[in-house]
Amino acid sequence: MNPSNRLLRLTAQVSLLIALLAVSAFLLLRVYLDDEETVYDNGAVTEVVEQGPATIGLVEWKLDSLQPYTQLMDAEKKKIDLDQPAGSVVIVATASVTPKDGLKMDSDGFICEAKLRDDRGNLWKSQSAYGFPLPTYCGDDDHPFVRNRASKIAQVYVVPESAVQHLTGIQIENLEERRRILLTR
Amino acid sequence: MKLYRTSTVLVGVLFVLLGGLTRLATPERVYDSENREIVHGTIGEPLKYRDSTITVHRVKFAKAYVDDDDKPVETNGVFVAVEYETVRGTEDVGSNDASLSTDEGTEYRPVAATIIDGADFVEPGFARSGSLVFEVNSADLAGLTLNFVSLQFWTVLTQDVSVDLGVPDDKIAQQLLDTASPEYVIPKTVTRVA
Repeated sequence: MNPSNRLLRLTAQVSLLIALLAVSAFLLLRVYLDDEETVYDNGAVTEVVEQGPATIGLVEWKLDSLQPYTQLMDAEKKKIDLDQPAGSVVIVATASVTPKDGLKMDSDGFICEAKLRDDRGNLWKSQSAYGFPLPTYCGDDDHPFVRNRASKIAQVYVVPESAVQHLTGIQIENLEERRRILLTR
Repeated sequence: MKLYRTSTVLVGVLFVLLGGLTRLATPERVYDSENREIVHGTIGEPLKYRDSTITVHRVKFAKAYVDDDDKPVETNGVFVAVEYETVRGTEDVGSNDASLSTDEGTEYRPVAATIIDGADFVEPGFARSGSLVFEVNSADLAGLTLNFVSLQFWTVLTQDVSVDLGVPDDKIAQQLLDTASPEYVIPKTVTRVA
């Protein structure tokens, strides 16, 4: 076997090794890196934005405040009825929401939802607080939304007291865009 | 040009096969069905359901049940009331269906009065107590088991819970029937901080 033939063989062997290693690395990591849908379905936060504004699904969000309360009052100073077990607190997030051009809106406005997230991955859904001065959803007749103009909404959550120190912000998501944004305080 | 000797290739193939064999020889877990892992337990035992728990606190036998202030609903068989508590963890729990099964293979679904027909979970960090009522044939009580089956569309790995309600044979079933209370009042669900 002459030296050039031997070099050729070594090169071929090394390239085959590299190709096999590359394929195995690709197959191993594809699930975690490439598949946006899997990453989204696993509940991963794709972007973290401080307060905002951030636009997702043609809606711009800006977190204005995130405050704990022991109870909520309506305009007549009456307690708003929420399912509040002993040892829980009410968290009110106020946000400025702007529906952008191209968003499907009808007479009832549109659907918007933000979940409260803590640093342990817990998520709380917003509750309806009847009588609260701010609308708690984006389809309230008394507070109609206008395209390209910011309106304030409130999202009301009931969480255990022990979770308050862990709270990080509100989470908004959009399935079509496979994005999940965390708006922090 | 010959890239590898035949023996080198054979050794490579052997290693791949050995890798596969080790996966077969030491399965990390054995599942009851291809995509369902069933957690078995008894009354009073907190059972893991994803990262939440379900505990069956007590089982009561009754000849009638009362919901709110309605008239009692009676049966020729027996009502089996199961009182449970769930503690919600971080993960999304989805929904589940509750059913009672017996040694004879009968499956019972809850009566409509409790509205929710599975274990009811609330928001993270909270616990919820609830009760499910089943109308059961009094001759078919041996091996009474409560099952919570996760509802899901995709065939990905999921988890179910199965609770032995402590009726091993007909003799004990008869004792429970003899001591069945005339009426069971469905308690209100209560949410508390876990």
